Amino acid sequence: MNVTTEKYDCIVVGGGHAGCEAVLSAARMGLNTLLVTIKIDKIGQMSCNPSVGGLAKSHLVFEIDALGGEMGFITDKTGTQFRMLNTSKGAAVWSLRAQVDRILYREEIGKVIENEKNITLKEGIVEKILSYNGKVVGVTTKEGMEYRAKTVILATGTFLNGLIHIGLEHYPAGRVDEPPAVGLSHSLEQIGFSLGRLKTGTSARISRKSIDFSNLMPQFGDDYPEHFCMRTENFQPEQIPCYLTTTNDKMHKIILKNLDRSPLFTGAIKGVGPKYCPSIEDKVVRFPERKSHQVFLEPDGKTTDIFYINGLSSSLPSDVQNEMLRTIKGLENVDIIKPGYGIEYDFVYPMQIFPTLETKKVNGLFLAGQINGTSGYEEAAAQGIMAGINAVLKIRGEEPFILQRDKAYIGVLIDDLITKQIKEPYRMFTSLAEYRLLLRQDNADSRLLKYGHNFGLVKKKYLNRLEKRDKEVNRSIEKLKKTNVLPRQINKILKKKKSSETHETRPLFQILKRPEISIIDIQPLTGTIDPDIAKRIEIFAKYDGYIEKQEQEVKRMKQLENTPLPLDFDYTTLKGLSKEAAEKLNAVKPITLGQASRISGVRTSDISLLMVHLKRMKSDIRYQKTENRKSN
Amino acid sequence: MVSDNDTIVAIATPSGAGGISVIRVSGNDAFVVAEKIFKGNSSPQEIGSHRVIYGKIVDPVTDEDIDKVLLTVMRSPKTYTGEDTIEISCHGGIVPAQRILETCISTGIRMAERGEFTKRAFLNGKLDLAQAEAILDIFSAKTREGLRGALYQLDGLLSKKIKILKDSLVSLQCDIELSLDFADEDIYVPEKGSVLEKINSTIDIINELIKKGKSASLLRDGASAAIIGKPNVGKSSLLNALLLEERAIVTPVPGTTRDVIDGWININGIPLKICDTCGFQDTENIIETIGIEKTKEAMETTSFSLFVTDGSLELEKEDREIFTRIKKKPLIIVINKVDLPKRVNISDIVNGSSYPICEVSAKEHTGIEQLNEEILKLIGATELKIDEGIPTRTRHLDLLSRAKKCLVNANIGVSENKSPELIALDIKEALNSLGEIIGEVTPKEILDKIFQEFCIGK
Repeated sequence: MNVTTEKYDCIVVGGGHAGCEAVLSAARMGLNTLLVTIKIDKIGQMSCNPSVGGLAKSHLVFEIDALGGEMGFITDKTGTQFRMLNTSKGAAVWSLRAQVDRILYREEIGKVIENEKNITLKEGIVEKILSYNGKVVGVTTKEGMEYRAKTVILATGTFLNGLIHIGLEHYPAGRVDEPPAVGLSHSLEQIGFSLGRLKTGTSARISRKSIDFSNLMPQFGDDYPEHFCMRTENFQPEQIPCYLTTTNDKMHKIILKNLDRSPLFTGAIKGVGPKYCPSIEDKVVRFPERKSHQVFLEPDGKTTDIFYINGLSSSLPSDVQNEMLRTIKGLENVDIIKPGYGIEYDFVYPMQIFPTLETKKVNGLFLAGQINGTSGYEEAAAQGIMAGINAVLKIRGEEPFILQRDKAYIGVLIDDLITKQIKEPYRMFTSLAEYRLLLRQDNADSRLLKYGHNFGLVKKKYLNRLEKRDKEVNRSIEKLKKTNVLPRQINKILKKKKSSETHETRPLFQILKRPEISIIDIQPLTGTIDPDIAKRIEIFAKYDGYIEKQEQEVKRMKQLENTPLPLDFDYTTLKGLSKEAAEKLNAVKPITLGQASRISGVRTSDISLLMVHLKRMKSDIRYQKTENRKSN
Repeated sequence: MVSDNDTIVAIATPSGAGGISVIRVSGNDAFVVAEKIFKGNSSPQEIGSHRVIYGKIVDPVTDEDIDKVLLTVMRSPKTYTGEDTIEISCHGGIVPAQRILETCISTGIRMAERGEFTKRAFLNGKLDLAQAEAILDIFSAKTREGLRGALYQLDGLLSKKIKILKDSLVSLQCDIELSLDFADEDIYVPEKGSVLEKINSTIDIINELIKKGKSASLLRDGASAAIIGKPNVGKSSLLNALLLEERAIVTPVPGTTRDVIDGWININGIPLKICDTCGFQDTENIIETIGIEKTKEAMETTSFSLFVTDGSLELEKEDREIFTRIKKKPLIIVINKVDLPKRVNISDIVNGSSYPICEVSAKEHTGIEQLNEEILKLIGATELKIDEGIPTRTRHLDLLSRAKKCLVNANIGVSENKSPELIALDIKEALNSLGEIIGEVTPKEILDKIFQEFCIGK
């Protein structure tokens, strides 16, 4: 083999959303980086729906942005529709969702990467991880290249041993029209990683020209759209609608009739698919009482003829997909451009990585994105930026960057991955965050921007702007707490809002706590407040008391979170631990008692045993020290 | 490494009286210890698990016989602690048990810490937290009814009840989370009415548990009463009549009872501690002064008083004075000596207020049944029965109250149209409190406290 050796600080394998954030953060922090990807013109490709954000995922995008990532910026720039979801509920669950121009997104992020001076781009299929003495040294490609580096980040998405299913046909592929990475899976197994298999799917792409929009309900973006990125200015996107239609009984019958041609139901697909994002055949079989399901038609971009169908992921044969779609209102004469498909791929059980995303087996080897069993662009990007930053800190010999569960959804995500057993593709939900009220998209910058700035990924001016804003918010809240209003001043407003009237003089802040009173209602008494500041004041008022409660809970748990556990300990030697707990603890090797307590199968009694053990170990260490002194 | 593998020993039966005493040894070396100190027909190391051998304990150094015993061999894991265990049943009284304990320790094992056997059982996954606490109750249960409550809890009945409560809250939590995390899908959103109904029905169940739990703690801990009255009205005789045994010194000389004498009686399964006092008689006598101080103390620590008068005499100034001092607390007026002609006129002191009144003759043992019933009525235990999982510990009751408080908050939140994520938070907190009862989410400090509470030997 003709081997050319090139040397880098960091090699990122894969140019999807995880790979992009990883290579950008590493390069911007000064590493000499290499991005190896199968097709350079597919960098930043959205393999599934053309949208970014949504429930809990938008929190991740805001957090990535606060750390200095790129996803929010590109989404703002290429978005075709922006909607704030869940606005009828509290701010902790508000979520921004954007439709994105798939082609523009790819182009824009591609440009950013190409223009980054510390990034070298190479096309190639990485086949093998090179390691020496348990430390990564580089990778080789199918094309016969060898690249050397101190750190390697694998962000291979669905490409590891990817197998596409359309009906009973199947063929190896990483994504439609792209080859899979077969050798790499083998290489990981040879090193000793344990791999699992997951399944996901996507729906058909159809031609805009063939859709009859006349009877479809359009769904427009917000009149005053909000955006993700702190760097976005003069945000006035030109928005285009999506369209809503529904499935029907006739279509469900077609599906049921053709189940013998479904790879999911004939057993051809072995990987486990996501429960929260089932294929349409799954939905019809599992919920026979539902006579129709929602279907959204989403434009792939402003300049393309392609429409994406959201809610109809399927791996049925293309002729069945065609027959199905044509029963749907608006799609009577639809032309399918590409049928939907199911894809199975390998992933590495993430118990094998540290919270830094570095593997436990191979020093300097990091894993980010779907390779860790997650699904979703946002989940991938979040891991990408964390892997990139930690690769840099590793090379510098600095403290790793780990976000706790009370600091960020990113922290929840990674902690869940390395602690819980992943059985299906993992996606973010707000209910996974026990400190949900503290982790809002509106305060992602207050929580994380300082880190981004410390890493040199966020400019000073944004930190200054943030500090000024937060100060202003605090000052205004203090003022409202001190502003007492007389019943006669406030009761007129309260009456108008059908809120119970008051007979005592009360601080305005107290009034604002009521769910039915908004800050605009009390504007006559406060004077004009900047809308952004006003929004934030209102959030604090509505959550007053609850935020404090959550902060106390965080404090209470800190004791466990701050108790480190030894990494080289064999838990099976600890008498009294249940067998299951010992095995799980050995598999995870938790770094703190807090993490240990979240491992499924580890009981309270096991944790208390660990506490007893730790205490004794400590006194033992002291004992040894005195012994040593004596012998000296 | 100092590990949990070391072997521990303790006397497992209460010190003092009893036909037999039991010494328990638990840990890896339990059988080695037995081999060293026990001589019998078969070898403890070779005999099958859960077998009893007759033999004697011999001091391994002096070869002196200590006691004839029954040795029970139990092999891990099917033992109380989950470890290898031997139990030595020896003759009752303090001396034999103490000597055997010392002999065990002389072989190199250590004395168990407070509650350590139960702690090991818990750590070895033998008990959940509620069950571990129930063990404590068995050992402090003062009467049969109380013991039954403890046994039921041991069976995990309380755990089961709490789990059912948890399940219903989890399903409610699911509904709410569903509406938060899947708002963009056309899914069912729980209606305000049905959410409220679920919250309220859970509150009802918790209320019921708390109510039963309070009665149950009466069963476990019992109530206490002070017998108060001027000298020579028959307080000690009354105590004896209640105790059915000669405990207090009963003489016709006023002021004979110079100390507070107390005893436990059992009324329909409720343990009741009764303190006999020497009254408030002014005196120069130092011993009696101390007695009076103790009477005051007994007054403060008991939950109600039995005010005793002599029915054969008219009320005196002293009766009135004593009555005035104690009337703020719940009391029962006991007219004693009704075997003699009645001269007393109670309406003189009650001043129109109504108090339960009992006429008894402590000497003849008449009216005692009626007095028992009045006592039960006064402490609100007339309908008390334990036949199911009931929280009997203060910690359980506190946690249930905390869960209830969270649910009441949730209820208010829903009624005020607060945002669902806030309701979800309250429900989650309620769930955490319920979880703490059965030891699922117990923070460290609680565990420490619980283990401190265990008496040695179990």
